[in-house]
Amino acid sequence: MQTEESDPRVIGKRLAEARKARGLTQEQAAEHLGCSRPTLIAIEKGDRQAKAEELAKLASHYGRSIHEIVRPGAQPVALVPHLRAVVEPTFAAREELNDAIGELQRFADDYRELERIIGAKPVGVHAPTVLLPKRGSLKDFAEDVATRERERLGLGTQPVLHLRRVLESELGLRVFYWNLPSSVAGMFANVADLGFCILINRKHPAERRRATLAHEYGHAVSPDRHKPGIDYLDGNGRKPQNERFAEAFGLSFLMPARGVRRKFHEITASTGDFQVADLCRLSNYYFVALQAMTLRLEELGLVGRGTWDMLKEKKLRARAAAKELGLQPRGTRTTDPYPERYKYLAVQAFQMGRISEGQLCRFLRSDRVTVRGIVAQCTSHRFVDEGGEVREQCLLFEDSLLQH
Amino acid sequence: MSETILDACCLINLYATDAFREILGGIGGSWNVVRPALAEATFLRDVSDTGEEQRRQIDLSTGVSEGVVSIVDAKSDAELGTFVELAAQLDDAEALGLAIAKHRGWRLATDDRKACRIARSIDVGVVTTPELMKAWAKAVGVGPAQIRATLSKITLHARFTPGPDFPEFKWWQKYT
Repeated sequence: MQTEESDPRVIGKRLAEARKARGLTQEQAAEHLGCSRPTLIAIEKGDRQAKAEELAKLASHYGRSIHEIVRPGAQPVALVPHLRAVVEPTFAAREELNDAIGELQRFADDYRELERIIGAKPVGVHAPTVLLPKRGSLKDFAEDVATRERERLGLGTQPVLHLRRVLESELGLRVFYWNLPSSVAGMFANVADLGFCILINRKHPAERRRATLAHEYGHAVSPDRHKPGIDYLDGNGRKPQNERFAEAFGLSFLMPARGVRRKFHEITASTGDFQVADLCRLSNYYFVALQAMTLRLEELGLVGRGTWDMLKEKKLRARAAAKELGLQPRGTRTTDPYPERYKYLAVQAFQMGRISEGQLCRFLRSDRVTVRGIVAQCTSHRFVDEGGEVREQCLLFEDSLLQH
Repeated sequence: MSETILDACCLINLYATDAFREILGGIGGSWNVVRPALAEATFLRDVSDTGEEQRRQIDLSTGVSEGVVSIVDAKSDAELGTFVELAAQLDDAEALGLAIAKHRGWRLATDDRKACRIARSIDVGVVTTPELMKAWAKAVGVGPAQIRATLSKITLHARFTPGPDFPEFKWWQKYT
């Protein structure tokens, strides 16, 4: 039963990563194992193969399954130390943030593992990087880049309702949703053999998540694409140029100037006014927060500066207003923790018998019965037969359509 | 008397019948489970009259305390070693159950395609949910209506339906 994962160097590296993610020193781990620090170092370096009992003890101490440590595949991606290095030194909810960083690392490892199991080639990032200007308006530059990106993706000036799907399928970005401290919007890191990975705070409302996603897209096209970063909701003081670019890019991408101006003029031409109700409808149309829509209109000079402050003072409640106007939620509001492609790769691997149901549960971060529902949802399709009856058909992913 | 290790798939399916004890008792033999499999058997699905889905917690504590199933663990270096080797290919619950079955000459109750394949490759006998249900129906002399009702509970609450490549697929289909 010897398999490629028996490579002690890979196992050692995974043990070291798991120990660091748990915040333990080599001394503490060695003490738990009842061995010397040099012995633990030898295990982590792969110079000494860990015994079964030692592996079981260490995995349990690090809160990992044995499978995670000894499964086949390449060395883990080293995200944890890089992302931890960019955490603000005074940040309060450090532990929760570290957990999320660990989760992003596990997602990245799992994605690579699924691609390996299926033999799928990693999707590269299809977004050209730009050099940030040394002179001139950064906002205008971000607007131009966002317009170019929209044109490149054939999006015109319409709202992008399925932003996550567009970024995943058209640009090859890997978007994950997980719990982050409330004051953190998201984080990103470029992973070797995988690409640009983004983690969005799933506790935030859908509109906020979209704004964060568009912001991280800005990082993906900027020169800092290769450096990891964490985006906080309220940065103190003046933000660095790359952050200001990402912010302006995200807003321009979600609410393109040409499209917003046209919609605004359509409304004012037909009613002779632009009321709070129109603002609510417009923010619903672009699937953005009321605040973001108002500030964008201010920025484009379509409403006066300070409009948002005035609305805030009047305690305008976005949800209540939307309900009163009968506005239906637009776009996708799901918070699947992983990209659609990741889910399909996992289900395909299971259908092909390459992973077990237990492994599938781990990849999909869910319990057995829920996972069975996900498999059924991914592999069945409904159609209306000639007699008008609705029928359900099970699809086998591995069936070839070329050799039919 | 035959000894069987139930993995999480079968454990959930049997629990979904609401006749866990009757089925295992009716088939006879000794039934075992490893702790990680118990931990993975967490929820069933309930569907209300309006079609709304809810999760129902699985509680096997009574079954364990009354000895319907026994909790077992690796008790030798050989079992632990095999467990770690198998864990490269299966999750911990599946690997531990299979390792114990291998060393103690027990059979494994699983519906998992990959687990079945690996079990057969190391000469461990496998039994699946449809086979267990058929064995129960035969041993106890259960009527078609009760069989139908019991199998539909597995489909509804555990979302399990055997594929055409399952042993006793035709028997199952007869009642669903």
